[in-house]
Amino acid sequence: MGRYLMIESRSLWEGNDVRNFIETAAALSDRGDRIDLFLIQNGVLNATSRSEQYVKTLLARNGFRIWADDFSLASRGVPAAELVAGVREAPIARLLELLMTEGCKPVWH
Amino acid sequence: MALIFVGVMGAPYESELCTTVLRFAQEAITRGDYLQVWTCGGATSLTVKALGDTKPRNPIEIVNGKDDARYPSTAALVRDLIGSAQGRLEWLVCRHCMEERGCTEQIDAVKVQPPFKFVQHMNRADRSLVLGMK
Repeated sequence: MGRYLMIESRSLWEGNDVRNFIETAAALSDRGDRIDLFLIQNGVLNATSRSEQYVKTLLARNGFRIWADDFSLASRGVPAAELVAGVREAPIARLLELLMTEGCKPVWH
Repeated sequence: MALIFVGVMGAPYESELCTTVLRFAQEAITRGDYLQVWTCGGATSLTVKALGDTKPRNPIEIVNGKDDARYPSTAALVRDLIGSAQGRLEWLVCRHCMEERGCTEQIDAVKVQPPFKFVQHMNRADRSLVLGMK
């Protein structure tokens, strides 16, 4: 069982490759890998109520966690209360903690 | 305390990539890690001498009476970050990318490296991450 830190910096509305990246994370999760999807920059926009159903299908997977960078949220005037339930607001320190987790394979998009 | 290698690709101001890299670097230094930042492509322009210490003045702020407003350039930010890191931050600039873009006059605080060193540094690190592939 692998462990992946998938970092998404762009929103779903910027291009199909963003959905492809998140779907890759979902596929890895489906085969038993642990996934931390860290949303940063415009990526935090993927975790608001506009994408609620989609985000919930991701969170329903075992070992799939979603994080949203607090600075990116604040820069866009998105309060933590607007995040889909289950998405965790996180400082950049959390990104480094996840990166340094034993066996973690990081991927930036 | 770990050695982290971060590759950065992409020109400044196309996205918030520069901000993210600087935030990441500051946090890594605060944690006590060793960090190597390798700039490729347009990111090599972050640390050119011609940027000076401050960004161009914002005319709107002058009009609004904020004549004294000054904001650090990316070169100054990187230089100051290196200075505060007590030897735990290396900022590396890819020579090939730098030359291709005419960004050859780099600030003294950074180290210019031949392209093949990228893989060497990456392999030596405890963890590697490349930001901004597109």
